[in-house]
Amino acid sequence: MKVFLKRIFVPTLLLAWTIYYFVEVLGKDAKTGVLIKPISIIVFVLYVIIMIGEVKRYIKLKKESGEPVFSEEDKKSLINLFVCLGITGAYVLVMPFIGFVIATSAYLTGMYMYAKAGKAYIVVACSIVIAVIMFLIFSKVLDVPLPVNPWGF
Amino acid sequence: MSAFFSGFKVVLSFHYILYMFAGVALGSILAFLPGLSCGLGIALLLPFTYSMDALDALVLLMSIYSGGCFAGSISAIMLNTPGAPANVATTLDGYPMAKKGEPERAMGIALMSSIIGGLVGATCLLLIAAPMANFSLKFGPGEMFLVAFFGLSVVGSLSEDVIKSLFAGLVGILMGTIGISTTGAFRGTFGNMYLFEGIPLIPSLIGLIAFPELINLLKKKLPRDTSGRKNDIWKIIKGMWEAITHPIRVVLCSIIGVVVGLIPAAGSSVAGFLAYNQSKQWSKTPEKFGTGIPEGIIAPESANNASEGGALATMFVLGIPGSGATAILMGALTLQGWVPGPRMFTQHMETIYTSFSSLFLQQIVMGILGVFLCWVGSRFLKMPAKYLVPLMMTLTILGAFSNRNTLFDAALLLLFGLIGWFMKESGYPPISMLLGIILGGTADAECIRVLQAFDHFTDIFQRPIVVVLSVITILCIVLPIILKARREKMKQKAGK
Repeated sequence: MKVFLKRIFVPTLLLAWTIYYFVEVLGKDAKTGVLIKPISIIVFVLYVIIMIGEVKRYIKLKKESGEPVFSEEDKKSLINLFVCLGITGAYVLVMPFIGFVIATSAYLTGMYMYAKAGKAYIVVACSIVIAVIMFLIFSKVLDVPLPVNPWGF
Repeated sequence: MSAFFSGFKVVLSFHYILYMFAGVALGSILAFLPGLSCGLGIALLLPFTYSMDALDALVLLMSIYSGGCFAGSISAIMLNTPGAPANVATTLDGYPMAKKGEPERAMGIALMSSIIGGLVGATCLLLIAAPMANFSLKFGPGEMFLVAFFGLSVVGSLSEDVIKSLFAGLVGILMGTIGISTTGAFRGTFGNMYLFEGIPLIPSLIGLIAFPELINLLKKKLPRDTSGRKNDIWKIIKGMWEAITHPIRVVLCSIIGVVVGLIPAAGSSVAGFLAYNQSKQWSKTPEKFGTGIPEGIIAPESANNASEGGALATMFVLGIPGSGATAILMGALTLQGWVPGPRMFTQHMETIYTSFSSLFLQQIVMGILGVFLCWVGSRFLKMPAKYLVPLMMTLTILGAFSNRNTLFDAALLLLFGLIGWFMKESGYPPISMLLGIILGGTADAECIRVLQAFDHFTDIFQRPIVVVLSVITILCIVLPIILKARREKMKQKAGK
């Protein structure tokens, strides 16, 4: 069942948003939803067609080789996705508070450690150097106003 | 025309050549980095051009534009991460070719296709800018609405499952309509002010295309060159020669690029996709597209560079910027005191024709710098992914952030990254969704304009251009399905 749920996750999520959008547009004047309404209906029809195909596929797989389960590779790639998103999400969240240089140093250290890129002290040193170089390039050369801490970095 | 030839004498002076090298180098480096674009480079240099002559500013900024159009293909080929939206279609065959251990060949093909595309674009700009621009003036809302859907017709050939591809493309169209409509209504913003202008393209592009790939690459090993070869540049040059051996394809795809470039808001990314789609339909072996074949690189790269000529034509002749980068260029001209509109071309004809001359020279400069950039790019494959990926992820976050200087865009990138990863895993092409996002806004705005201009929506079909575009759009969606069904039938027959 988990394999089936993984396959229908994205279309269901997108359909849920489409329905929300369709309902929101219904409350507005006719011209505002002139394109959105027919496309939402087509999206719904396509979703039904896709679901029929997915259910058929699931039943067929179940009949042929029992309940489909995640392979080790699938499990690893799912864990990898959530670890990467988790670390990157935390990076984006804390950057405005601790500043670009500290946040990026910590982020790069975390990612390099997770990727087993080398010894801890080398990883930390490289991460700090890269973060400082990036800060200088973006804030001083390209004039991108990066988030900074009270000490200005 | 005499202004054009005398323009060569002007732009062959030392300081213009210096501007061209500096501009092409800057545009290339910015486009090479995912999330950053040549548009950013033009925007950054805009304040410095205020004190320059109009021609100096034009040559420098157009050089950034030229460099950026090509260089985005390097990261598209090396990392499956297009450096600019124009290069999204290049990932379809460029990356598989690099995966097969032939990154230099792919980059060489992309470079020469870009140069030829740029030259064809510049020639068309020179010869047909004025008459074609007159024709484009006839495009009303009905034609523009069809143009947006014509761009989406490519979804039929992006995936094995056309239904899934269409689903993703149509949801993308809906996402492209988020924000303030032309009627002034707010739609799908959840009350968030960062969405009032719609979903920003850069976070959605990086999130859907690049981020899932980077996440998967972190635990994968990039294919590394173990042959111990030294003549990387020679392989790039051989790749360049290979593009020349497909002259008809390069020129035809370039012409598609020019035509698409002439249509405002269609943009070089649509040009790349359309040329790819057409090239696939012309091919005797369409099933090989997506596996890393030269034709799949030649088509988008020649078209997206050639579209530059078309986009510049509408910008110079009509004062309508066809893309984000040309919009910034337009801003630079306004800073020079030029008034945007059809009169601009006649008032500043000499300067504009001289800048056309520089476009030809920029392609030669791009050839020289491009070989070096490709050579540097090929080193990436020798670096283990685990060293490169965290750095690239930081750059993508920064690219999304620097778009509007808000971390909201970085968070949006993560959301699209999550959606893109699951889409890829479940067989929904994220590129279809991206194309929808690019075209959705135009389709919606033109659809509303149609209702304002005509009594009934079907009235637009009284216009011949609309009918022709409708037929082509339907054919482009339906033909791949029919051809696929026929091929499968033939395979089954052959199997029996």
